[in-house]
Amino acid sequence: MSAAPESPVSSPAPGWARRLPRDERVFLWLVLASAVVMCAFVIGWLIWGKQNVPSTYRYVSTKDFAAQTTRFAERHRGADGRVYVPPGTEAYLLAARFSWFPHLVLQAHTRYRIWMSAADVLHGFSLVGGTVNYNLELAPNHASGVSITVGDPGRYLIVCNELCGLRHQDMRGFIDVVTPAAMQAALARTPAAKPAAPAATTSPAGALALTADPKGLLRFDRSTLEAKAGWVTIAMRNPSPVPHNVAVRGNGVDVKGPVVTAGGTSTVRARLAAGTYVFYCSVPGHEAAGMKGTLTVRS
Amino acid sequence: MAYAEPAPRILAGVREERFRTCPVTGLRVFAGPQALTVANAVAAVLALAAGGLFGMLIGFTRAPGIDLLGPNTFYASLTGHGVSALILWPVFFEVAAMVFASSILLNARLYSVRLGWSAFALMVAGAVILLAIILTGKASVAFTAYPPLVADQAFYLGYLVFAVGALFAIVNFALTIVRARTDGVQRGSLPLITYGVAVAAILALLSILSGLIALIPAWLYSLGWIGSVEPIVYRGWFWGLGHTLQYVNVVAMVVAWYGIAALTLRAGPVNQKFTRFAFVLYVLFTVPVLGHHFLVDPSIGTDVKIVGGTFMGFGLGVPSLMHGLAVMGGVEAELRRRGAAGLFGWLRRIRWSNAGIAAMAGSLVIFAVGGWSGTAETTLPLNMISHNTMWVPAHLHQTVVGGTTLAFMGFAYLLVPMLVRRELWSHRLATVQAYLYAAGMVVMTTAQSWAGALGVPRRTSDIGYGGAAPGGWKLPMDIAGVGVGMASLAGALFVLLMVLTLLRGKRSEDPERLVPSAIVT
Repeated sequence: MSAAPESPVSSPAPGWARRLPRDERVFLWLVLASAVVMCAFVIGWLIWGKQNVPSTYRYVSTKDFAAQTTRFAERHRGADGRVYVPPGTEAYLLAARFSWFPHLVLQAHTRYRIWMSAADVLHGFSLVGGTVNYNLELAPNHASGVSITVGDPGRYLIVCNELCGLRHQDMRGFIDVVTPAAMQAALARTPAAKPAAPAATTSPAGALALTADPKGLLRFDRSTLEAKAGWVTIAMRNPSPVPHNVAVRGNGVDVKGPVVTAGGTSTVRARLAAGTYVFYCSVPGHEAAGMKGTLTVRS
Repeated sequence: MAYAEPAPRILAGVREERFRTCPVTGLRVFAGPQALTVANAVAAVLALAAGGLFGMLIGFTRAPGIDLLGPNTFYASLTGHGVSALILWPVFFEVAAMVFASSILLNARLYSVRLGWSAFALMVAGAVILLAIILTGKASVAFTAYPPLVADQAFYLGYLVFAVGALFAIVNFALTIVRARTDGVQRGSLPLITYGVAVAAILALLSILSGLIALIPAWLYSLGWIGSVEPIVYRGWFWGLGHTLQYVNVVAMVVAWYGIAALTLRAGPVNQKFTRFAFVLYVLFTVPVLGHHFLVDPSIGTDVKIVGGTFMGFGLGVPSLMHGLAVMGGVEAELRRRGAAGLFGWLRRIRWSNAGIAAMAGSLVIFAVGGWSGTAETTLPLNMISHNTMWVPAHLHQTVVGGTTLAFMGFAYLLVPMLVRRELWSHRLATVQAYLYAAGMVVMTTAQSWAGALGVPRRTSDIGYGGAAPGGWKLPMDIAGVGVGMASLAGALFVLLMVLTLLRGKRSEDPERLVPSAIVT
């Protein structure tokens, strides 16, 4: 029968700091060895692994990144509104409350570099579904250059997995992957050397003027607009890096302007009878967050 | 010249404070520290009740089959859950442990009872401010509050007031130990439990300082006094608070393991040097390991991520493995000394119906799984598939809830009867509670890990994504909801048992009735 064990609630007997017994020493060496093996696996994966965390970053203001994304989207936008990225072209993806901009179309089994950043708050890029599960943290003013080899054709879901506001659960987007033939067909339909359409900065004459919050908060500068019955045009200037548009709804009318960012102007035009309408931003979650107002049309 | 030895100051002032002698441990318990310990423990249980209630609400919202709350109340509850369960509950409990380990265990008086109560008052004030602003829905930013997302300024103020209170408590703890030494009450090395609590206090000090560096600019930003807060830098300082604080929990949990093993099985650590070395390793590895929060962040180099996240994470596993061996080895050695034979004969000498044993066993097993899941996600490639998915809450509930909270519950089943000299209202119900809580956590976290591997995001009120979500997401989240139900029931039972013990428990001075032995004879 060995000596009674020491109590954890009283002072240890003098001499407790002598050399560790053999059992404990063997255990420590085993633990240390397993840690070393695990470290070796991690370094090995960095060298031979197929998918690694991106290590290319840029420090870029949200405004500049939003402008670059807009230029990229204008240059490659197809007839259906999606952005077809020719192989070899760097793509851009902007996360903003509560959408992913633009809707990218990539060619299957091709390697792309995609620049990603956030326009307003932290967002999480999470590409999920099927066998895909890829997650990155995105922050304003920081851009990550992700090199990925795209998989089989199909539609892939992007969700935000960093809490970004009360409509966080609405934040979803898609990346579509198409066959090389479908990509070539779409690119042929898109004017090849279309010059980057300069974002319209002037409003059409007679349009009702509206401005999005320049800091990226989810609101317009006014909550009421008035117009006379007939053709009504609303021109919404968006000086913020957060994508917005202007849309009008009510009395059977439902029209949406294009989504613009970083200095662009979204214009919507509709023939309206007398009555009360809602003008709003149709980017997911923005109307719910208060980005809307009342349009009163008088006869 | 005649030489007269002055009387120790502790004896000179001993009549100033009332004390009693504990019937179980024979320790001298002063009235001041006892009241302070009980007050902090009560606040801790209230915070746990609030955290558990919020947890049940968000758990039932995450199960698509129930979908309890809308987004606004969900995000408010999510924030309340993180604040109460990850900050308020453990810090109140550890302040209780600090008072207990520095004064009652050392037979010493508190350095300052007044400082202790000031700390408690500030912590309560901070907690009330935090919970009030969260309930108004003006701070639905999760407990991490990453800028530029911004909450009402009162939220940051509540954090700061609470942190200052905790700092006071740590100062009081350190000065109490210093005074116990200078008064000659404590000679030689500190008892292991006090040593462990001291390590926890050092980590708490580092974490709170880091938290102040993160939260003061965030508070000024919320007031509009400064224009911006760099989000990646904030994340660094915040996790200097957030993750370091979880290791305060881990250290306190290990202390609870030693405490439970000593009180129920009369077992001590297998080797004092081995266990103390393990405690020192926690101090060494805990702060740099915050690097694992950056594994998929922009603008941080792979070298920093590998060393600060992955390697430090592996290093941090070492002391936990050592303590696991030391606690179980200590139990085995003691039971063999009492005549257990064969390779596993000592396991049959443990009375598994003992509430303390039930909680410690569950805590050891679930924490081991949590350590493994954390090690997995601290590697770069695996973090890419687990970052901000349900894998993360699975990991942190395995460690903080299944590990720490369950161990604290078991320790409370032994400490509270000793402190108030009332028997547990029902020891059998306490055992059922511990096993049910452990089972609920196993079901919930296993299902959450499954969901995380499928990519289900954490911290979101709805995973439907307008019908675009993969079909396989719902089943694991519904199963997790079942685990939430089991754990909620067990959590409510714990609070009920504590209240009934405090109010209706049978008064007793019999050690075997207050802290029943778990040794089968």
